Amino acid sequence: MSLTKQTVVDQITVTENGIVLYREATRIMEDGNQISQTFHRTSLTPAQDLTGIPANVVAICNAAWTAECIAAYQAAQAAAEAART
Amino acid sequence: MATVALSGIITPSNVVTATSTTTLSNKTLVAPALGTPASGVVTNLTGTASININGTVGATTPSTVVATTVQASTTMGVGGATPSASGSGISFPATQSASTDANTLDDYEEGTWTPSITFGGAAVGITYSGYTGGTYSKIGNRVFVTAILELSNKGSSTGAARIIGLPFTNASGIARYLPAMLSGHNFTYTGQFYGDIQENTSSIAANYTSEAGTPSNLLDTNFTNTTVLQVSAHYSV
Repeated sequence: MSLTKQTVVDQITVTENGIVLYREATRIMEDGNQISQTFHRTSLTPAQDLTGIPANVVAICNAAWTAECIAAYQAAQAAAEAART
Repeated sequence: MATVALSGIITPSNVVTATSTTTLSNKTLVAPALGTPASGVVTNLTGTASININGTVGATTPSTVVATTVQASTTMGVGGATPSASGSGISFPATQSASTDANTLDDYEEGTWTPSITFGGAAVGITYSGYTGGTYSKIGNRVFVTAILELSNKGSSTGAARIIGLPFTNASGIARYLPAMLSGHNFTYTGQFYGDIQENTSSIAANYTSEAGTPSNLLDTNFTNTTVLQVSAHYSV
């Protein structure tokens, strides 16, 4: 019997306003068969620091976060802050 | 009671009806392969009778099973999900198959997330202790989150405080500023401390309202290097 643990990014979603959400699945395998799985989710906002983020997620962020995307997201945030206070 | 002894293979061409009680004990009734005939009905199975279906039943064969009650001894999968090998319950697909029917539960997921703080959208030099983390459960279109953040250094960024990293984005629409419950210690403010989640965002703005009712952002200056925040919120996706 062989137990192994693997962690993979099994979902990446980009929302309309540029937020990138991804899910890491940690799987415990017994002789190649999955016997358990847990999830960890992360969200990234346009222009956020990507230190420590998985490379495939960074690639998606860099593609999605154009200058226009970042500017539009920051403008929306500023407008929302102004509306609240 | 009349008895008819049968042997060999019997091939009914239509309906076989027993007009009185017929006992079939310790025998096996072998039905033709599914699809031959295309449909059929077995009625009046009582007592300890059971039907064993061996092999694979296609997704559309049958398309609907109608029963008064259904009992699964451990788990069942929907939407093509493999039933969990542990515990008892319903297993949903790893990726939601959303239903437009308001009465259909179409997703369940639980997991962890990692909250962090930004001031003015940046997080230069901010560090955390080992107690920082969070959990979530998604039930249908509703997400429940809890988290704790324990700063070990608030860094040098300045501006409005925001807890980022929510596992899903808040939906747009009615709840534009959905309240989030925040508590904590080792920080300063005057009035009532609260959080809110804006539409189309995956973050919580940390705010306070003065006694006069004026809302303000919690700023980096309100925090210390040992601030602890606890979060409890739910929102729709």
